[in-house]
Amino acid sequence: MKIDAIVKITFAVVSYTLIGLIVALIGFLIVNGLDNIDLEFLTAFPRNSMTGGGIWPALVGTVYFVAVALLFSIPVGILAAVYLSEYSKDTAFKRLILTANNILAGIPSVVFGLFGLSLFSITFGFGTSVLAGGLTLGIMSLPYIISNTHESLTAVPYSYREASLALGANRAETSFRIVLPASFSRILTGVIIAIGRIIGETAPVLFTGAAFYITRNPTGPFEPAMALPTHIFVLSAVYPDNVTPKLEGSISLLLIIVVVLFLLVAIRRRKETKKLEV
Amino acid sequence: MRRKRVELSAKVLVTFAALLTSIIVFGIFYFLISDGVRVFGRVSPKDFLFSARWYPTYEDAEFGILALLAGTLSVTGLTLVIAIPLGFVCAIFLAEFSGRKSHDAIKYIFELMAGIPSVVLGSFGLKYVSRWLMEHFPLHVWTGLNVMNASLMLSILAMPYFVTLVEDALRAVPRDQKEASLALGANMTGTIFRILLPQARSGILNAIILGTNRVIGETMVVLMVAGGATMVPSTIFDPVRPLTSAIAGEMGEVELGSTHYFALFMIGVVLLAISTVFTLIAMKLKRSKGK
Amino acid sequence: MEDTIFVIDELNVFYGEKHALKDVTCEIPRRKVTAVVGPSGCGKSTFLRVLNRMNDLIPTYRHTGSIKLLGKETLTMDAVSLRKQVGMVFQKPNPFPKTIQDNVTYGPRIHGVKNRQRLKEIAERSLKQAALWDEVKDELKKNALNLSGGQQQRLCIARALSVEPEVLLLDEPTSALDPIATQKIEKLIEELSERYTIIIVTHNLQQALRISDYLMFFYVGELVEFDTTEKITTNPSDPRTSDYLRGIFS
Ligand SMILES: Nc1ncnc2c1ncn2[C@@H]1O[C@H](COP(=O)(O)OP(=O)(O)OP(=O)(O)O)[C@@H](O)[C@H]1O
Ligand SMILES: [Mg+2]
Repeated sequence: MKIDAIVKITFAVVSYTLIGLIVALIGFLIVNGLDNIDLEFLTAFPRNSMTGGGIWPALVGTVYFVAVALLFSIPVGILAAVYLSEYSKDTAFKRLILTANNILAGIPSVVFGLFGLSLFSITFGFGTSVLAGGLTLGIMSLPYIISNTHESLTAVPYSYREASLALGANRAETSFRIVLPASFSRILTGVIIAIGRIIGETAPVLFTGAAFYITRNPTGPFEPAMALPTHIFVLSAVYPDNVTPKLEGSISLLLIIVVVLFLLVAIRRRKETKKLEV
Repeated sequence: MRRKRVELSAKVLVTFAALLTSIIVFGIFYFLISDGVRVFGRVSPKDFLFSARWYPTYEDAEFGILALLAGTLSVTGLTLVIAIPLGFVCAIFLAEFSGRKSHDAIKYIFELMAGIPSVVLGSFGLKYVSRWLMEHFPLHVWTGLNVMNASLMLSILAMPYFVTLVEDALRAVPRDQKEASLALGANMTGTIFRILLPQARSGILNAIILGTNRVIGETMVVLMVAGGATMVPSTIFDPVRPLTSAIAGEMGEVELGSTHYFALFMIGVVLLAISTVFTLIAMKLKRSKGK
Repeated sequence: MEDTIFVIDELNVFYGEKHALKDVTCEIPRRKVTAVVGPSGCGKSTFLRVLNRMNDLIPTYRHTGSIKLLGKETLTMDAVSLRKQVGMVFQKPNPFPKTIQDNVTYGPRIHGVKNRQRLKEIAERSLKQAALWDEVKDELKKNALNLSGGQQQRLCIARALSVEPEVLLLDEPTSALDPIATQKIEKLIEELSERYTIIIVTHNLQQALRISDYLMFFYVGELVEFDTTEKITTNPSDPRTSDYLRGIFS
């Protein structure tokens, strides 16, 4: 019995120390940059070799990239997941798709960058643009959306499908009017997770869509844009120390966004488990 | 009949969307390989893989990725050495010792930890960890950007993976196994190490494979803090240039269609091959466990 | 012919190797309540689910023989139009996680009714037929999952009635309900039998006796006896039936 107590305490100490360090790290990075975030920082273009002004174009660009990515991955991902959960039987074709999805989920982000460069920027001629970068991110987020939606759809009780079919509904009606709406909340949670994952992605947009520095926001999908993570990369790796306040502010802001997204996910998940317990 | 037509188009649509994932995977292989193999017009496959001389911008350019591979291996190896034991401790704590409330809170922190953008960790390693390493290990360290720094930062990204997957593996062991052991008078510690961990073996192996795959593919951290030197490291405080950082760091400056460009795509092919093999092994393990 | 709804001939059903229904031949009377009884696992649910082809979805399922609905072969017809004529209510109440109104208009909508007024009328009619209207008429926009179990089951009956089926199949519809809710549903079934053919599986023999006009007794996949409830209860012709009635199996 004694050894159990020792092991438990040791494991608890290690775990809580680690957790404490991580919380301290995130807290430090957020607080450290908070002073540098003001209205100008959020709404102005960078000035004086990025030592002055703000990060407005990086915020706008990030929204564009994420929007294009989701515009691709949400519809395709949901339809593919509907196929997997509502249409497919246990065939070789289904296994092929599941395998492809797993492979896609494991591919390094920089490889997606190469693919996006080769296909979207060069072959399709999109160049370095919001469209090329966004689609690259979209492909990257596709497996998350598919796996999560697939899981959400399988969690819908079979009795809903039975009731719908017994009314004379066909498979399409049952899938799209009963099963999908019933799992809407969980699918949305998955989408938020996907946003959390791609919003901080740097490598894939680095050579498909990101501009280091622009003086006006893109007016169409074929123009490049700045993005928050690539901006952080540029400020920390390329520019000297006199941009540090801007860098700290940008890091703080990106982390705040990520923390809020994950908090949202945690809250929604709790609500869902509560609902199940009732 | 309209209703029939809608049903049929829905079926075609979802099947095509599902097929699209496979098409994309084939497309990725196709585009990377078709550009990548063109490097072999200038460099022999043997030199590409087994030469440690990566001098792409020299007059007499050389494209050997052995040093880059060594960089990837050293950073990945050290990351696993740090992250796996810590991940195990946390996973066991979460699965067997923590109460429900603290469990949920800790779980949230780990998810958040995995969600920290890697560029942020890179920046932190660049500004703070490098200085800290220089100050505390002055005898060995001639640059703060090195294998150690990169591995520390990567551990932060990799650990949550191990924690989550290992905890799942532990929880998947049937409860009666644990109860049977406890009922025989075994203590909790013995039960964990003799009953739970061995039974969760394949799940744990799976976790290690998936986590390793993630570490190998991580780009921004190693680009920013691994040091960037094309050398085979001899200590953990040497700077290195892993495969991913070579692509991300050099792609911006290369000329389209040059040998260097194709060489970077070939590195992409190597990464793609590694991740695909890891994924397939993990799937195989999972399937054989399911049986 | 108008007195018979289903003519079943040499029906055999298999799940893989398992022979679940054996040579079932019978005629089910129209606009009557037929109760299906028998020990657990004897094939009652299977029989019911063959009638509206719900079993088609099970990969190992196979059948031979013939079932005619008002003269038309059902086993080869389009399952969708068959199910519109043969509605089903399940053991556990399973309303959709939508509003009460949406639950009873979903069926008509997929069958092409678009007019709002018309949908409202259908909702009202089916809820009234299911004796639920008075309880929910002021909260049609409320989520159906907030209703009590008994109300949910009546909503499921209303939902099945909304597409104006010819037949209503009920698989142990009261086994998840309390006695009062059960009573309400039994009363409802009696009322509905004036317009609909009702086939109900039940484990509760007393219930079968209370509400049914005809009784089908299955035993290990065989239709052992099928006659008026009165005839079977007073004078069963097969010893297995009398054993069952005396409570030897269930
Ligand atoms: N999907 C299936 N696959 C294989 N066998 C099945 C399947 N469904 C039912 N069976 C088998 O067919 C037989 C009849 O099952 P059925 O569900 O019709 O019985 P039941 O009379 O409704 O029983 P209960 O009173 O328990 O509901 C049983 O032996 C059952 O095990
Ligand atoms: Mg049954």
